Amino acid sequence: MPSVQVSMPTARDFALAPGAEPAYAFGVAFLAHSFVTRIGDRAFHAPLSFDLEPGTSVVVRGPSGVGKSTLLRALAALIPPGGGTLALDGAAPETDTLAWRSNVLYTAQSPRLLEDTVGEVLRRPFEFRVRRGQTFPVDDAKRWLDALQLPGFDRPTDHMSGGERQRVHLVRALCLRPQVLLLDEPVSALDPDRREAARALLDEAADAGVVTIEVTHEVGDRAALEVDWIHAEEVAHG
Amino acid sequence: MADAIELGDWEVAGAAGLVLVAGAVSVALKLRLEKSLLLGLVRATVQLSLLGLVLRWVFAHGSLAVTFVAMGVMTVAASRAALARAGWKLDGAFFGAFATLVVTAGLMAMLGSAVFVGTDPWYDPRYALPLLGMLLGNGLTGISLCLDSLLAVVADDRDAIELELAMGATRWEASRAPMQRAVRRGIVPIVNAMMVVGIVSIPGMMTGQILAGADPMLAVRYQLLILFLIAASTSLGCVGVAVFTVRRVIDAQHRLRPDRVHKRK
Repeated sequence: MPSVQVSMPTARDFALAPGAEPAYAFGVAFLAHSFVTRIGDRAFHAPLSFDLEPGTSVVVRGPSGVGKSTLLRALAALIPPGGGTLALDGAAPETDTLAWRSNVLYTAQSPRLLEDTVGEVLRRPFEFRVRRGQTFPVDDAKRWLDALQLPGFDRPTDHMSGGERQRVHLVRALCLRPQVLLLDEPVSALDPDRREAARALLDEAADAGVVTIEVTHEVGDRAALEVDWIHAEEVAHG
Repeated sequence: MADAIELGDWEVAGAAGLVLVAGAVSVALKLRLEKSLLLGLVRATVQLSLLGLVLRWVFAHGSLAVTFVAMGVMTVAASRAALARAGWKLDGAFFGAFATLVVTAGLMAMLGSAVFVGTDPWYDPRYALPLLGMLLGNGLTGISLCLDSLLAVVADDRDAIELELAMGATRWEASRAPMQRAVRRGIVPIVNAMMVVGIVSIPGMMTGQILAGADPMLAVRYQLLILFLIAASTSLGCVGVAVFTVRRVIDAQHRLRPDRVHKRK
């Protein structure tokens, strides 16, 4: 189990592996310092600090509407932060936003598939300038599609169910080989069997060193670092 | 060129009297349009008479400065009209629409009158101003359609763009499809107009020239010149506004900025 320290100061403190050494000496560390998500005047949580080693899995649990998706979008630099800093392997998102997002990948909760076939969906991001030089991992993609009981590349995407779209989206995320995977309710539309299979793939990614941060409103069943959501108001009144 | 037959105030008043027939229809069928009809009659008369007086004055004092001031006023009015027609408001859009119209309509009108028609002096307002008016009128329609289409995507359909941004797409890569759709929507009307021109009706400008005594083939050449200038200026105008809009709604950090787009109340 990789060492980890997540802290949300003021109301409650998390220190799941007390006394752990900072991890950035070796490999890639995903760091947040006093990070706050804010839209307009509304701050979504207390200043958040964490230092995550490769392979760490974090689950953030909280009711709908408290800003869990917003937190992930802020971590992916898709919205401006309300304060604080982020770093991956020492580099801040502002230095190269596109490189940041190709390493810190946000996967939306109910993704739309904009392309016509599964193959086109999976290959689309490899057309982006930031991924020039990377090749689409055909064999891995086939294996992952298979593991999630999805048909091949030629399958049209129209009329796909929410669960199928979610699984295709997950396979695409894995193909992109991010260092940090931000998962927004990644298995919410899947039945128990396929949840199991999706979990297995995510665990495989974690074993390969991918940091995963998952937000969910569901009660947990997985062995991961779990963080209960602290709402900004709760902090203010606490 | 044959001289135009003189048309006096009373003859025009006679034509205005015919609007009373439309008014009678409205009263008889209880359409309640008679007030609007009357207002339209008065407004058209007042607006066009003023325009005539202004144009007569500008043509008489046809200096470079007067011509350019008139062009500036027309372009400002067209920019405002283009934005007012879109269903969404974009912060800072006026500058974008104005700059785009200055380049695509203003420069194109100067090109048309100074180079293609070859007026003397090169800025002769008798040619430059009507040409500019035609380009602005069509350009603003295209621009507002294009703007409306693009802003609707950002306001209602932003997930699709953010999905691609999240995977590392640049703002241009992520907005490629909506931009294509928007520019297309802006250009299609003028393309359709070129397809049917002369089949369904004689274009208004040609009609005016023929009534004013011009040779039909000369009127045709002028009409084609205008049509081609309109097609070019509308196309470039739509591209210009689309580029400007994407730069505003997705910032330099490749983040969507829905806070800059507002629904028109």
